[in-house]
Amino acid sequence: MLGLEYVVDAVTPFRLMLSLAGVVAGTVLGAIPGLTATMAIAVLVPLTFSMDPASALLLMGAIYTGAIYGGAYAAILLNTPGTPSAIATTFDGYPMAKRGDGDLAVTLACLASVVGGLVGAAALLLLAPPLAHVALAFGPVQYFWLAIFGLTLISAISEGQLIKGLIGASFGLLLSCVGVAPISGAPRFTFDSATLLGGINVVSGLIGLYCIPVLIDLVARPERHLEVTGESRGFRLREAFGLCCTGKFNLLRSSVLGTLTGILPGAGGSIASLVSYSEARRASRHPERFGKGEPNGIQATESANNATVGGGMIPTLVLGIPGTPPDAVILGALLVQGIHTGPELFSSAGGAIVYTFIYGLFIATLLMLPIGLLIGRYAFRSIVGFPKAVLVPVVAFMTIIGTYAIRNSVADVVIMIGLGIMGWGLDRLGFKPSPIVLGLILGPIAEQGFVQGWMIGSATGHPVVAFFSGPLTIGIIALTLFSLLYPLLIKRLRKARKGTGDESKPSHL
Amino acid sequence: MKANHPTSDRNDIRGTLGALMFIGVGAIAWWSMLGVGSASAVIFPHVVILLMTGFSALLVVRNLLGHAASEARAPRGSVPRRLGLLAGMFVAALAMPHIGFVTSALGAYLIIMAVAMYERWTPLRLAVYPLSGLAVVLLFYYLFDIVFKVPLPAGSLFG
Amino acid sequence: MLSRKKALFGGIALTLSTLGLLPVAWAADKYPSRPVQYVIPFGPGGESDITARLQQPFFKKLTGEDLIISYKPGGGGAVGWSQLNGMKGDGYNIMGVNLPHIIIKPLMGNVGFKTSDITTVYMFEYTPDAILVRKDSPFKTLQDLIDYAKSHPGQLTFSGSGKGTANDLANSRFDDATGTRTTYIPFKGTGAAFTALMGGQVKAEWGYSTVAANHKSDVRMLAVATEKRVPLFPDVPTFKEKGIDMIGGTYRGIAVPKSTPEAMRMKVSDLIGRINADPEFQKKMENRGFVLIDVPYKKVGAFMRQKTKEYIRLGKAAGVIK
Repeated sequence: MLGLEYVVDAVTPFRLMLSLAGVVAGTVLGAIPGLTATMAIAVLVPLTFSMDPASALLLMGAIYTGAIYGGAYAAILLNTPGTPSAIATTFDGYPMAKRGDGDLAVTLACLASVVGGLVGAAALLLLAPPLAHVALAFGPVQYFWLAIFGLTLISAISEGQLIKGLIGASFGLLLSCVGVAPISGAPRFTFDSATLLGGINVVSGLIGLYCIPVLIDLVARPERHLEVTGESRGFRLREAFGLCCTGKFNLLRSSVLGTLTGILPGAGGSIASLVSYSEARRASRHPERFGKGEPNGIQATESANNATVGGGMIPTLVLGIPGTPPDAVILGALLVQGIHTGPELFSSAGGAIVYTFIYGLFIATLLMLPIGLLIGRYAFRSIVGFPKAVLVPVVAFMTIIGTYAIRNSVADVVIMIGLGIMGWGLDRLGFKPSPIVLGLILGPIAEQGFVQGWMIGSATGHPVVAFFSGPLTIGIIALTLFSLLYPLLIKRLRKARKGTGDESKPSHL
Repeated sequence: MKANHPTSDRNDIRGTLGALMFIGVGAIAWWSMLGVGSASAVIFPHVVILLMTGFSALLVVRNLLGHAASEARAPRGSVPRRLGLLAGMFVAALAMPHIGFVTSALGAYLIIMAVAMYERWTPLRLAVYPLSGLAVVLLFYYLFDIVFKVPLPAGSLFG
Repeated sequence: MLSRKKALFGGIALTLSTLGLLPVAWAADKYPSRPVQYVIPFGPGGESDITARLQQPFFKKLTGEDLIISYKPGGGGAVGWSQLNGMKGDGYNIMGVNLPHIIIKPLMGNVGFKTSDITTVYMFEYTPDAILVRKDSPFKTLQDLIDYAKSHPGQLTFSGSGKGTANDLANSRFDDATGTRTTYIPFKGTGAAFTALMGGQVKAEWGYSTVAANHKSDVRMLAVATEKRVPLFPDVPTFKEKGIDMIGGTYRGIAVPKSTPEAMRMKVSDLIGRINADPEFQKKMENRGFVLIDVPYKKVGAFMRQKTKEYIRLGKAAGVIK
């Protein structure tokens, strides 16, 4: 049962070494803005061809796990998500680092990533075949509503400037339309320029809108980038552990949400972390602290995005449908190896590969704890300790090479810098980057879902009906409405309770 | 620091400016879609443009009616340094296909380093800082070009 | 200053190359004498990537040199193809090409390249169009599906990969030939189209024989657009057998930058031909549902002319080009 006999296979010295190397390589690559998990796996795929399938899968899984966690460093320390999955980690991670809690934030991210990774892997081990069908429950209409649900997060991240947030998000949605349209094939907003043909890559958008403004302001002032608090406080592991204990429901909920989002082929780590962030904020008794350095925010996003690793593997291995973008690369590598995916991979006869891999994934995730803490400590020290004249050019150089490497394109670098200048300027006018990025990420999902849903609806009945029928659709719409109306509801409640004491007073850690 | 500071922008003139600009962007975007025939390609951008210009108009009206919630602050710090950083990055990106990756990256590194220098140039710093640049650029060059086999732009000069 | 820097770099380059870390450009008698860059204008994990990954080890086996695969996704291939002629034409830069993409896309709008900009030197493979349904679908045969389409005009939904692709053209050709009206829903790539079929969002999928090969236990292939039955699926009829004159699919080949000299184009073409002739490679490709074809450089011109005529006719009929 559960292929327990394969635990031994997962801990051979060679495979242990692969897990270790994979997690280290993934963490380092993921920390560099522009080098996403997808990229990290794609460049290392040729290495796996000489291995047996279980080891190949294990190496790719370890890199994937490490890269998703590594993305948090840049998010926390530089306000730049190292991978798209870490986008929501910037919301609270950077404010924490700004006030001198960067070390704590990195450690928290590590703990949360391990928890999320373990939950995702457990789902893969115990529930893969039945859960795989979640992947099929979502059609175009449901993806459309999921994107709309994601957009409700605007109200949370526009820092009291709702209208500006809405304008920014619409602008982000518009930016997502640039280039050759995926469905209709028509070039849009390219102004006959080859540079814009490929559209605005989400990753170059992230780097441009988040990292360049930080650099621009960093270079303009002599102060240090991050606060340094006199004495070294080690990993602050005990403190982080305490926070995880008090936030255990948040961690668990976010991990489950991450796993489920990972299973959906149209979503991925970025959506997972955004969704669990918004849920954590809603469930919190202090939603007003979110976005200002709330540890629960980091725990939610980092556990969710690492849970997508195991979650995304579920449809990949059971149905041959990649759950997340990196899974597509892994699936391709498996096909080249001649492995056919399917439920029989989980049967006792065909279990050798999958169970060895899953137990290996558990081990890789656990290895991430010491590795992640160590690398995180080092990353934190370098960012804090480097003199400005070294830090700024190094980061600028990394944004350039990272953006270039997305698809070996200088055009992407130019777009990235251009977006950065624009983002900086818009920030001066009061338009924050996060809503724009939200639009950029959710735009394609919303558009494809809408157009395809409409076409299918028109063919089989009435399109409007198609957008409002089915329990799942109604459920997502209800959730969307709830999330829109919830703040109003809370306000009402607060008003009613006013006089019983001021409980919204922000407290410190 | 924000709300009632004399230099703060109480009527959110910056926001109004931004909103007007977004309305302009919307108009250009709409115009550029005129040639696209396929309905499925047009519908989503049209909805988005309408939303964007609608919200922008709302912001303008709100600000004119004096209900502005301003929080914009003037940028502090050195403008030349900002421009220097951006110039360095642009130069690197545009020069890359012509003079190669290593040369342009190193050039940009040195420019940006000079721009970001707030300490005094001591002989030690003068030696160590540029060397750190060389080390970083060559390390990444090795990692990408040799290990990952990412084809970096090669120009007339080395790399 | 500059020359000193140059000398320094030259020194480093020399040391690195003697250590075998840098490709040595000047031992160029035999081709290839150093690694060849193979750009796939799509993302990793797709079918174009898989064919390239399958070619990779045989390239190494035949030449002793590495075939280095990199990706330039964007605009449905347009980003890569529009940059093809900017690369060095020395035989060490090659790029994957797909039909009908390179013929149809430039006619759909300004996508940064024209069909005539692409110098194809070899077409090596094709994945035939096929109609797929879920295993539990009521459509047991092609005739069941056609009957349904006839009695429910417009209501039979097909998922497929993109607009102006082989799937899209096949659907319009199918409607024409059978006198039915079906609805084609473009998805982003074959994977998404397959997911929609499995999720029951559409009733059938325009896919490829490769999809059926990878998901044998989940789908039933009703007919395939080949001349003869596909060896991997001896029980699946061709459209031709069923009286529908349809042969087509996505064709894959290799292109070089325009500046590549004639002699070098021939060398690249020969090399790809030799990979195609390797029996082990053939077996690997066929097991995954790919169909090998051999159109070397000498014959590519005629092949392209014929296909261009055909695709323009189909594209006009499908309404994707004017």
